[in-house]
Amino acid sequence: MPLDPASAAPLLPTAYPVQDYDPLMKGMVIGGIGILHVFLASFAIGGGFLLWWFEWLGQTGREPLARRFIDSVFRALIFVSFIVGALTGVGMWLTAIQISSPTIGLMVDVFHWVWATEWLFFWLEVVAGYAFFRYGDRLDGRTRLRLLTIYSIAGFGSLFWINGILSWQLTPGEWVETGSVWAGFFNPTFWPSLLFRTVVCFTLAALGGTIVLNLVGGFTREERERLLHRISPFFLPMLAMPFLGAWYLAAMPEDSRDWILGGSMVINMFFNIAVGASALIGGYGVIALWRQRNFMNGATATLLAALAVGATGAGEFIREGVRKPYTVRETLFSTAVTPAQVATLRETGILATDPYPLRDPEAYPTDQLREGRLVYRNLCSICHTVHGAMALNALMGEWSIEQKRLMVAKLQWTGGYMPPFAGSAGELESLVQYIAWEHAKRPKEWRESRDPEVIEEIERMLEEATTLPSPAAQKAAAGEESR
Amino acid sequence: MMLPAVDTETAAPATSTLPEVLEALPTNTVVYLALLIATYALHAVFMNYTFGGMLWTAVAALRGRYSEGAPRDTLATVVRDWLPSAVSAAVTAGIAPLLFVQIVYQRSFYTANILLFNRWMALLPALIVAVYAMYVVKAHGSAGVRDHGRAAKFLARGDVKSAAAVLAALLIGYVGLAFIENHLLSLAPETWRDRYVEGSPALPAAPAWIRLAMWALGALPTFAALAAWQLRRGAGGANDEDRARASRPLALLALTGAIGSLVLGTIVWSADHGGTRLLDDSIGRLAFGSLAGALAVGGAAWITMALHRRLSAIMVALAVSASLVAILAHAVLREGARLLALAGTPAAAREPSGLGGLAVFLVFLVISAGAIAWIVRAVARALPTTHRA
Repeated sequence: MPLDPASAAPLLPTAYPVQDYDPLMKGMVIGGIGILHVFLASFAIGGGFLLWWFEWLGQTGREPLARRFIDSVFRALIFVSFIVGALTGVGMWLTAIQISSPTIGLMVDVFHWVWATEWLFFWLEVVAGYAFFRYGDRLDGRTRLRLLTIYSIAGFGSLFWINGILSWQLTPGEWVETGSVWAGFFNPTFWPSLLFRTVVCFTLAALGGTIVLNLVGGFTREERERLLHRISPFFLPMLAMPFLGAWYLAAMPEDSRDWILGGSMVINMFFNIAVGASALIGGYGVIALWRQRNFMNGATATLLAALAVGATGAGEFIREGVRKPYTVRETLFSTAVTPAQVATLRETGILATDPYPLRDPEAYPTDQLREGRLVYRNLCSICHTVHGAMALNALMGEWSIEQKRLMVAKLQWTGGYMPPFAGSAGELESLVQYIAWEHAKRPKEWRESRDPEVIEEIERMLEEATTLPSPAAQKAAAGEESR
Repeated sequence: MMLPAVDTETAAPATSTLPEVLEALPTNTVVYLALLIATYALHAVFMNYTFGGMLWTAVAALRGRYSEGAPRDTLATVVRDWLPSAVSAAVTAGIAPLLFVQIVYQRSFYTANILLFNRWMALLPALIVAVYAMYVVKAHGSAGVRDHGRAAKFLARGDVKSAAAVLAALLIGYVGLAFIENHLLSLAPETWRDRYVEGSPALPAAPAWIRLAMWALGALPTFAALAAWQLRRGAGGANDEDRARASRPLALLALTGAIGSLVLGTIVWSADHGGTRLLDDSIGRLAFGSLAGALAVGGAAWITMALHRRLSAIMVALAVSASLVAILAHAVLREGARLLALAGTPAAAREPSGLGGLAVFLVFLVISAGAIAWIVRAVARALPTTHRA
């Protein structure tokens, strides 16, 4: 039976305890592990195809050095990708649980059989990989090639499956209406994302292979040059990157695309970094290596790999950034609250459902500040810190108290990447007071502010803001005014 | 609108029996529970080999078995060579129970993860370092290392291998402890609030150590049985003399593990879980009886092999089968205790929201199984018998 998204409301974020990483932003924690994992996993996937290519070159007599190269690269694959790559993959799951349990919970609920299928491909990859690693030198050519074929397909399969889940977060497509797993999996950005990532895998395999070639002993300069030219075709798919990127952009929701193309300075900057780094890598790989048959030493290859880390990191940042204000578009806000829950939480308040108290209640002079801290913990700390990265103190500290109330009440109007405030008017006032108190460097005394007129004013602003995200909120409000 | 603050629909009342709890669960949840148990058992096979093998390797390293000029010790060599692959298999096999536990016990599993925080997350770097340490132990004789002069000499040193083997064993032990602490915390929702406020104590509580000892001892019969099977298959060029030499140490290891894990298992599984003693429950008694029976049968097989100083095919097969039954019984007891402990709480087993994709999984299950079977067959056919393992 397909999942009905309306009834798929995961637990509220308050069902789970929240850890504080201040001064680190939670996105930085998961991003750091994510970039490392994506980089290594991409190298492993592309590496499978690179090894297959060399095995074929060797067996068809085109490249007598192929066998020695394969042994070197495969050892690197096993030592790096099979260990750090595989375990950072598990780390992604565990980190996602730490950061946003409701989000990963929803993903598991919807796609667990897809993940289970990916698990089968992991098995294939591990069994084929170790069989080749342990026995490759004693196997006949046909079996070696078949093993590498299975290994490459299994590696690519793992990308295929996880790509559907990750792209679903940005463009869940018809899943939102139908609840069909496959409608969600083969979503509008599935194919451009898959092809784009495949090109990245080939590029990273070429760079990784070049580094390994320069690191291992036993090859003369001429032999390295010759092998480098054999690797260089793996840079060629980068020529398709601009078109795939354009397709990817076109398939994205309009607001996400607008942010990349300049609407959000930070996302646009990362986009430019990714484009620039990719252009440099692609240019060098295609022109210097493939076309002009130049030599690339280990230092240059490492430098290009560092650029590739930058491009991968920027790409992952963009992917995470353009989903805002959602973790699963149209389904779950970044606060881990569903659109339907916002309206209820405006009435009941978010704190009514939070069983976890503050660890340091004595640090706050008033109950209202304690409440404010709890509201921050439940609704803001997923993307912000108080004094560290994306600090509320830096973003809002200088605003007047009235301005803070207005901006938080109309949060989704303040910026389209922000979700609507999912708490009561009283909680909003507590949050505003808490931010002001933090900005005032935590004075020992602070006046409580529970003026009914202020609360009433906040309620009015919240009503005006609506419970919808931007730009639907503005449209709804405009419709209300015209009536 | 009712807020879906907690999943309580499927929670059975407290102090239920296991049949009652199971009857109250939706069919889908029971299926996922069965898959959780089955995949956990598969994971435990590799985990037990890894854990037992790590201990064996550490002892062998400390005895200088991996130093230059050490006397021939085929078993120590075979185990050392297979450990990295075994840990890869354990990690890969571990992904499926990690998936199914998120489906069935989402709230309790996630909450325990978050509460343990750095202590839990530390298992990842611990595991990474442990695997590299295993490769250091294995490095001797590897062509890639031999080519690298000073590095090769350093890695070939007996003290380096001993340190790496002990480090790997300790880290694998830490990983086991982290999983146990997480599991125990997930069973106690009434402690979550206080744990959040007060943080985790410096050291895990006594029950976690008892369980670690139970699982560690329980790993030994599996390791011994699988290692005996490898020697029978001619791993590392093992001959009759190697098998005879390994029979008594392996038997001693297996018997120590079986008796120790049974004693500790009696303590662990007879404890109160959600107001019910697992051993008073019909399913619990059946699982524990199977565990005790399997350990007894395995023990008898090992005594026979030790007396005859021979790893005979029938006895090894009996020891392997008994270990597999014991693992499955342990897995059932573990889930039974969890079901009882969480019955009636907001963190009880829940029904997953969606089931789509099962057909595709089944199709690829057949394809993958076929491909893996082909790989095993192709490798086996290409190699002479003595080089297969």
